[in-house]
Amino acid sequence: MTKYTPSIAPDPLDGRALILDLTGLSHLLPSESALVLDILADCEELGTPPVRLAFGDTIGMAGIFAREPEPLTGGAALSPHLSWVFWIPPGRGIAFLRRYPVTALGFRREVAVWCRELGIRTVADFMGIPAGEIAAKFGRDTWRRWEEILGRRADILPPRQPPEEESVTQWLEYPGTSPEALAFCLQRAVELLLLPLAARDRGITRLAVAIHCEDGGKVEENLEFFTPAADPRGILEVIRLRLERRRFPAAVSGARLVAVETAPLIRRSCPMFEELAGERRRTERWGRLAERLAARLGEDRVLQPVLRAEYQPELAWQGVPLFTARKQKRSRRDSPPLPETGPRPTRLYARPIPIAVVAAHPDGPPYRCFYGGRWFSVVRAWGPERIETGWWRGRLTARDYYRTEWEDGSHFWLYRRLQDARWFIHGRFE
Amino acid sequence: MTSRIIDDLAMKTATPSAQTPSLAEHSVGRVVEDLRRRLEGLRSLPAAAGPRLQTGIREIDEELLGGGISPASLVEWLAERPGSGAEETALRLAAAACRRGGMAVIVDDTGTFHPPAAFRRGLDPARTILLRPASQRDAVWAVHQCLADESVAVVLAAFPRLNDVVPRRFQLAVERGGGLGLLLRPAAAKADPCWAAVRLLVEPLPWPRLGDTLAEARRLRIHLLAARGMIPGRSVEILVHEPTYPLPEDRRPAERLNPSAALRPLRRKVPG
Repeated sequence: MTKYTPSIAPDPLDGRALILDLTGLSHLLPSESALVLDILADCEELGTPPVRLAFGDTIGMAGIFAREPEPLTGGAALSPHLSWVFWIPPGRGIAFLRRYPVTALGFRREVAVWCRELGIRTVADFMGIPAGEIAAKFGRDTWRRWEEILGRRADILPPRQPPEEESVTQWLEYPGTSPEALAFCLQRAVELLLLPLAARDRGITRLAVAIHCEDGGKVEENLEFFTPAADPRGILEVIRLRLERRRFPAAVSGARLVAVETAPLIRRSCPMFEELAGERRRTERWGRLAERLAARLGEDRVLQPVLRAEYQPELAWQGVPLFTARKQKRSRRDSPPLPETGPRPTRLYARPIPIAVVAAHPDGPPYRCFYGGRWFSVVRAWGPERIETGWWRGRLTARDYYRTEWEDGSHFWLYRRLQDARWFIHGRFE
Repeated sequence: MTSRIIDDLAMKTATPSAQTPSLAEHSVGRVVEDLRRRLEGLRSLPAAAGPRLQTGIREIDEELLGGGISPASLVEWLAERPGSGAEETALRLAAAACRRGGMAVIVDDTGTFHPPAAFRRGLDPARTILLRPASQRDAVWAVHQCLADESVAVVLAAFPRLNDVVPRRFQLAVERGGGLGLLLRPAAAKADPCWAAVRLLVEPLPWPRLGDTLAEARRLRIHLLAARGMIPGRSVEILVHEPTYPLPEDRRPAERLNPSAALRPLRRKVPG
C-alpha cells in the first residue's frame, strides 16, 4: 500500500483496518474507480479475505464508513474479495454521516451510555448539541474526536517508517544432506546479508534463520546477539550451534536469513592504558561467549541471578535469562539489599525432602535424623530462624529453620513446618 | 614422611660399616643420593610469577598451597560426602578470582545452586552467570568454552563423573583462557589421573563437643592430594567461620531454646 501514499497507519479504533491519507496526492493518483480496482487487484494477489473500502473527507470519517457499512445504500459488491466500496463526493461526508448511530463515532463507552440516556441516537441528534457544550458535557477528548471527524482539527497520520529488515535467500544447486553443503549455503547467505549492513555501519542484533527443505518444510530459528554482530565467523558459529541439534525433515534446498533488528556498530578509540583495553576486550569477548552459550544451551538456560527482597529462601532470587536481563539493564545497583537472615546453604532443593526427625521436644531442635537408610545424630544445631511469610500469596509459609551438623561432620539445613510439625531437608552446606 | 625415610636411609648409608663399602652398599647410596637430589629439586621449584589467589584461610593458603594458587589454574575439590563444605571453601577462591575482574560462571545442571549463598561469600551479582545445561555433555561443553575464554575469571562446576579425557581438555582450556577452573567432584575421583594444578580433598569433621553452638565454626580437614611443584600428601585441619547475621528482634521466636541444654537429657531416652 505504500505505493499509494507514505502516510499509512492502522486504525487506532480497529486494529484490522488500515487508513491511507491521500491528501494532496490526487494529481499523482488515478481516478477513484481506477484506484479501487488497483487495490482490489493487490488484495486478490495477496489472497486477503474480503475487504471493505471507503473514502471519506477526513481520516475519522473514512474509518467510520469502512467500519460501519450497514446504514449505507451506496455500497456495491464488486468481487468475492471485496465486500463494500463506499465512495462519496468530496464535501458530502457530513450529509452521509448524519444517518449513522452515535456509537459509530468511536467515543468512550461512558459517552455512548450518556448519549443513550439523553436520547441521542444518531449523529444527526449529536449535531444538535451546541459545539461549546460538547466538551463540558462529555469531556475534552470527546470534543477533540468530534472536531477531528468533522475536519476542524488536523488529524495527521505519521509517515510510515519502513522496517529495517535486510534479508537474503540462498539456494543450493540441488538439495543436499551434507553439513558442508548447508555450511556453504549459510556462509554465502551471511556474507550477502552483511554487505548492505556494512555499508550503513550496522550490525545484527536479531536474526531469523529459515532452512528450507526439499519437501517444502522449514526449520526456523530466531537468534539474538549480545552486541551488534558484523563478524561472519561469529554469526555462523552461533547459527551452527543452534542448528546442530535440529532435525531436518528432508534434504536442505536453501536458507533464508532475515536481519530482524540491526543496530549501529560500536566503534571505540583504542584506550591509552592497558587495563582499560583489557577490560573492554573482555567485555566484547564475553558478549560473543554469551551468544554461543545461549545458542547451544538455550536462552532460558543462561541466567543472571537477580536477588529479590523475599525472606522465603526459594523466592529470594530469580534467574533472569541473560538477554532479557540485558534489556532490562538490571545490575547490582538495582538489586535489593540482602535481607538480614541467618546463614544460607549453597545448595537448595527446589522440592524439600521429607525426613524423619527425633526432636529434643515438640518445638525443639532436631536430635536425630533418618536419612539415606540410617540414623544420624545431630551434633550441633543452630536456630531456629523462623520464617513466616507469603500469606498475601494465599499460601502461608511458616517454618523454623535449623542449620545442623551431623555426626559425620556434614552440614544440612532443616526446617520444621509449623502447620503440621513435619521436618524437611531444604539444603546442604556443600 | 617421605623425607624422614630418606633421611633415615641417608643416615644409614652415611655410616659405613667398613672402610671400603661393598658394591651393594655403594649402589644403595647412589640411589638414595639421587632420590634426595630429586626431592630437593621438587621442593625448590620457584613459585609461579605473578599474582596468587587466596582462600583467606591461612592454613590452606600458606601451609598447603605455598602462598596461593595461580589465577590460571584448574583446581579439583573432592568432597567426602554431601554437605562436606568443599563448595563453600571453593567459593572463597572464586570470589578472590572474581575480584580481579571478569565474569564468574556457575555451571549447575542439578538446579540446586543457591546464588544468595554465593553472593554472601563474595561473588559479585552483576558479574555472576548461572548456566543450567540440560545434560552433562552440555555442561562439559559449557565449562570448556568458558575456561577457554579470557572474559571469564572463574568457572565453578560440579561433576559426579568424568572420563579421563575431559579434565585434560579443561586444563588446556585454562591455559588458553587464563581463568580459574574449580571442579567439584566426589572423593571417589581421587583414583582418577589428575590434570589439575591442585587437587584437594575436603573431609568434614564433627565438632568435638556435643551441642556447642556458641562456636559457629565448622571443622574441616583439607588433604593436598596432588599439586604441581609441591609435595602431595600433606593435610591441614581448619576452622571455617560461616558468615552469619544477627536475626532482627521481630523474627526471633518468642522462646529461644538452648539446644545443648535440651539435647543432653534426651540422648539417653532415644533408642539408637
